[in-house]
Amino acid sequence: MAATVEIDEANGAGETLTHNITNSNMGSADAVNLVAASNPIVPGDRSFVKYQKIHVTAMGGSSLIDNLKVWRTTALGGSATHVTNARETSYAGALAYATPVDTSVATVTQAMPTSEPTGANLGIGGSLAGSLSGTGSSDYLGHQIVTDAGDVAGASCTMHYQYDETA
Amino acid sequence: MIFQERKQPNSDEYTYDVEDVFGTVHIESSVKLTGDILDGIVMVLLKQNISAEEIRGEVKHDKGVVQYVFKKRPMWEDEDEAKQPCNDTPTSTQKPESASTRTRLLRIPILSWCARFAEAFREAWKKGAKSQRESDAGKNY
Repeated sequence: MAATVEIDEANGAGETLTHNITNSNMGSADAVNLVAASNPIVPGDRSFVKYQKIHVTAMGGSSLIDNLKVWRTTALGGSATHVTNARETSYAGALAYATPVDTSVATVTQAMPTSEPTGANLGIGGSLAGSLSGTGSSDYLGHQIVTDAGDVAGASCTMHYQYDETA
Repeated sequence: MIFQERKQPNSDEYTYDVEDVFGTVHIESSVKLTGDILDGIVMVLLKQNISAEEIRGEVKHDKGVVQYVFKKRPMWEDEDEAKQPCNDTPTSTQKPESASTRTRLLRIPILSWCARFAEAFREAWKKGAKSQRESDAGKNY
């Protein structure tokens, strides 16, 4: 039996955690599973930063979860960019939660990979070499869309969260 | 059980040569197989208890096709005692831990709209709804 894993997102000043989110829609509000059409981003502004983590809720007979990788597929609209704290080198350690903002966040500055990274780019316990041998969560993945003043439409993409599971 | 895995160049096929006291099994598979699966295939072949020394077969499953050639070693072989015992050391070209490590992927959509697009969409929606109402009203007369 495989481990049970979900993606969680934290929002608000009090770090309200929502388990097993169904989308990572980005917009002009700090909200989980938000409706992008109701919370559009003013061109030139940033979306509210997302704080998400990979949460192992049951090991299902496995002994280890590690090698966490995150990336996005499908291009963003216009000249928008997608920034994150996930990175394969010079990882800054666990991202501390703070009330999500629509301005830049320190360490959430790396371009989100658009294909599977070679190695882990999201840590566990502050380290890319970290692992889980029981229920627990990864470090926070912070990511944010940075739009350009000339952007018109938006984008529909897919976020990928990958891990290795050792029996 | 000793097995050697080879990835066929310019192909997605894998071949495995499995050797143990029972004899040898040559396996061609369209998917990568773990040590546990190879062990399972050999156990199934041994349980068939077929008298032929060489057995060829094919197993279709949801991920692909496995073809095998099973060559049984005679039950009593003269030089058996002179041979070194099997040390159960896999000689796979892959890392040993890959046999029990699975990579799993979760995917969720990420959607973002720009304000101009949202406004244009709303305007188009309003116009569409208005013309629909007018059209519906016309039908009533």
